[in-house]
Amino acid sequence: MERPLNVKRLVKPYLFLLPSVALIFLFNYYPLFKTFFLGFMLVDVVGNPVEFIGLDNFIAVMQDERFWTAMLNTFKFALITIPATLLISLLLSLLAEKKRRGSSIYQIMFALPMAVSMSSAALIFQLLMNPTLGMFNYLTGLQVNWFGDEKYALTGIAIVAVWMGIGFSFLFLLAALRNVPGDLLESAELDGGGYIQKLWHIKLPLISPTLFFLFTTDLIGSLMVFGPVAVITKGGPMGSTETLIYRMFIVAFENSKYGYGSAIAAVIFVIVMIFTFITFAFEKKGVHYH
Amino acid sequence: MRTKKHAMEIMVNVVSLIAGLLVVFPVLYSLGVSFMSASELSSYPPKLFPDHAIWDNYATVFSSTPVIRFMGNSFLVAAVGTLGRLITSSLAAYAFSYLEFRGKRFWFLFILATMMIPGDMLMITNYMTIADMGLIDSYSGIIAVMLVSATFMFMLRQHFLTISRDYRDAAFVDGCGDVRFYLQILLPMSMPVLSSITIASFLGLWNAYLWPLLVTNSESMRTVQVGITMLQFPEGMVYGPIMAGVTVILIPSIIVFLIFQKQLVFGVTSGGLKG
Repeated sequence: MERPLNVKRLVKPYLFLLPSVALIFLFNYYPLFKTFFLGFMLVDVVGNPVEFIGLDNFIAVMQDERFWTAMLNTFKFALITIPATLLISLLLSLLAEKKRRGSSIYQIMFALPMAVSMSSAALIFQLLMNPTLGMFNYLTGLQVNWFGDEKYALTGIAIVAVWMGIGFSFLFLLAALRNVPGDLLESAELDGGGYIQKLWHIKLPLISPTLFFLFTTDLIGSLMVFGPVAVITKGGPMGSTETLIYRMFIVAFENSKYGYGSAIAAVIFVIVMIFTFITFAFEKKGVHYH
Repeated sequence: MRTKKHAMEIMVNVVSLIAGLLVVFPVLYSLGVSFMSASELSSYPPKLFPDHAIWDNYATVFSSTPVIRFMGNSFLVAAVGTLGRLITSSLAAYAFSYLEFRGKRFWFLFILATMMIPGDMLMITNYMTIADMGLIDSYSGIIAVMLVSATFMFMLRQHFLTISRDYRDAAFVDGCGDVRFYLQILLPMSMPVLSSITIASFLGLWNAYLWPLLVTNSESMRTVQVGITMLQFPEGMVYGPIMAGVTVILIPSIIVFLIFQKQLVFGVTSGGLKG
């Protein structure tokens, strides 16, 4: 009687874990290793590895001008999107910070973009920023063919992405601001500190972990941007909005070059890891935790 | 002094309201255009709302596109995917919070580390796996990769750890086993967290784009987010019906957002998940 019970006790925890671990192995670790593996292989058009070719895929990626363009576009996109999203959502959260009569109404308005799916947002902005039909140029007084001009298309995509991101960042910053202890602010007030001093010396340092968290998720999100590009511009005009993930998608699924596509995926993974480590190294210096 | 403060408050409210209207402007705009005729849409200066609202665009969307079918597909995918995640992640969270076993730390990190892997870079190899399983263009193919979530496992574990172990000890004295304690006591006690996760997950899966785009080929299998970007009309790119379609698919998301705002905010801010 004793032994089967013991076996049951030993095995039971693993039975609880089995579904998660099996699925995570199958759809996370296995494909991760396979991506690197396929990067070193010649792969046929249906996805079977044919022979080991060493670094050939990676060399081909490095020599591909379109890959470097995609990388540059992705970085430019991140450079516009991240500061704009953080700044706008910080301003919105400062507006909504204090609970007033009616503040729940604009709190809902500020967070609303979160409920709008990427494809809906992309379709709306495609019309909104249309140079002849849309309202964006009319309201801003600009004369820009947003998604049709290679000079502006990437900025156009970034504007869509900023709008999509503010709801999420706003909620985080609002929660962080409301957690700032009131007595700290009061004692600053007694010392004669104005709004700007309180913001700069108390609130911003105290919410810096949240700002850092948002910066990191925005950075990774920007490096992986795909949706609005696929829906609105398809990488055009003249490749001006082709991003890393979009390039990988086209190479693998339209040109059926799975080995080459996997090599791009592996490079993207390494880039994301490098940036993640850089931001975490920076975090140790610049962010205040309590 | 007091009147100055009062005036300040009113000004902040006015500025906030204007900012709020600017933020929701694109959504109002799509709603307005969905009721416009083609000629009104192309008039200059552009209008936010039509002079005479018409329902023709909605009639076009419902009669000449399978948008109802798309919504059904998305509902199925989001519901089954969310249920799957709740099951797998709560089971794993249970083991990590209540059971002692060898390799506990290793398996915990094994699951958590996947939060560092950006999902989209795995699409080529995951596509191959799903193709090898013969699941391309099927519901199972769309749902399979969605059935597990490290974030939700972590959130549930954090929550389970706050529940006193006395409950479990008492239940065991009454003859409960782990499974009965988990199903009949722990899960009902965790309803607030579970509902937050359910809503955040449902909205996330309802809005998923890249993976369903990749694994579906036939029009009848498309989810609403993929289908809406591929609507075909005899007259080409017509924005009226497209905006009507966008409005139709936004309604469920916005209703869920408005009703379950509290749970959603908790689910999103404590799990830190995006999109």
